[in-house]
Amino acid sequence: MPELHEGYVLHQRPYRETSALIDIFTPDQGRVALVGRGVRRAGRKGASSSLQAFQPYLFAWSGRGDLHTLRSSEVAGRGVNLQGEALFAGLYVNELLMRLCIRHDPHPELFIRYQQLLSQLETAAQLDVCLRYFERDLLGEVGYGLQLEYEAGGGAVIEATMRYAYRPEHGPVAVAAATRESLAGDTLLALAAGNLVTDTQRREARQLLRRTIAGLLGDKPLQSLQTMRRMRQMTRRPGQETADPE
Amino acid sequence: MRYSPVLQELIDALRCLPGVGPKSAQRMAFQLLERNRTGALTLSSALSTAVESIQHCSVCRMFTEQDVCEICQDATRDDSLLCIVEGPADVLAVEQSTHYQGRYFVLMGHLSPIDGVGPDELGLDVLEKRIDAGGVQELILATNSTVEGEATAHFLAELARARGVSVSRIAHGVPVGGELEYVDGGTLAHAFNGRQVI
Repeated sequence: MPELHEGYVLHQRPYRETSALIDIFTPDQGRVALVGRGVRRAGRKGASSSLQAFQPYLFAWSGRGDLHTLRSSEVAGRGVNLQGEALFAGLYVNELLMRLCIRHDPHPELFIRYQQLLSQLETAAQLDVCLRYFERDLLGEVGYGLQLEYEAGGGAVIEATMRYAYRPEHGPVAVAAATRESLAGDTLLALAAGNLVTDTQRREARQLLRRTIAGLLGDKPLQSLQTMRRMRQMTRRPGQETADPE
Repeated sequence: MRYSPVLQELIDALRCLPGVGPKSAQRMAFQLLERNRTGALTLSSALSTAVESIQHCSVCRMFTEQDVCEICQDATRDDSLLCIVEGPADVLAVEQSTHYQGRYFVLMGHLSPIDGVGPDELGLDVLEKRIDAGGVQELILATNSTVEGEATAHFLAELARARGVSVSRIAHGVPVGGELEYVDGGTLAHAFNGRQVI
């Protein structure tokens, strides 16, 4: 019997007539790519519904190399029921994991954070702040953690009242005058402590994380961000500021 | 041994059908040539007529050989109801099993932000114009009960609400004739959340 692994579906896309290529996220194996043969066949025995994202499963697979064959999947516990903005936030996080996690690189702690994030998204309070902390932890897990408490190089402690420019792969450097890209020491400390409160802190933290992630992804930006931006343009009601869920 | 070029071409052509591999394509080709030449001619003419004349309805995007499909032309139908479905097969499913007498709009897919399928790819600008043109009072969202289907429904609901159109979502839950014991957890949870006062 192949071993059972807990995991979530990150993404699946149709493959051939009835099969699908499925990317899952597991604690002990990290991201794993599976071929699900016949998973899209209508009326498959015991499969009234297909594999869904945000629902924990126990997966069994076999085969060597990069692409395995899905042997069985079984629902393991209650999935989260994401609605509206939270659903899009969840899809965004799934894309982030798809792009930033290398296959078969185990991330047990990130897995726990992912589960926490999903239940936070389900209650849908302060979506953006929850996403910021997850992005911070995700970067740390994949080896690009942000340096938030000390300055680059010298290692001076970050002062809440100073302004800093964040140099990618180095860290924050104090700047004399505020520029468009610079951010308050206060924001860096709040992000480190998981205590983003004010609108300025939230905006600056988002810009910092967005820039850092974009830098890692190179010239292939996240599809979900572009799609969501376009969606917001279409649904924006006059005079209403929509919350940015990303 | 190799088949004659024309025969080989026929076999290769048949393989464009879903689920047809080299062996089945070969069997189909021989069947048509040996036993059913009239059937083969009918098939070939039906195929070429269909491909040449069938296109998307300019109003609802359903397949039709006219500019506007029969459902959209039908004057007895209710213009104030608009049902949104993901594919042409869904229109047939709703038509065959419900008494729905309103109009349809076929998305030909669903939103999938990870794959970069957004509102523009689904032709939602056509839908937007249709709602803006007025007359639609209720949008019935009959997208699939999958993550992408839900995402699509949410987006359409926002789109409609921003324009003051009321929106409803088809119910999901325990299938008729189903037993609770065998219903999967997600479905049962949905059924509970969507329970109704009777």
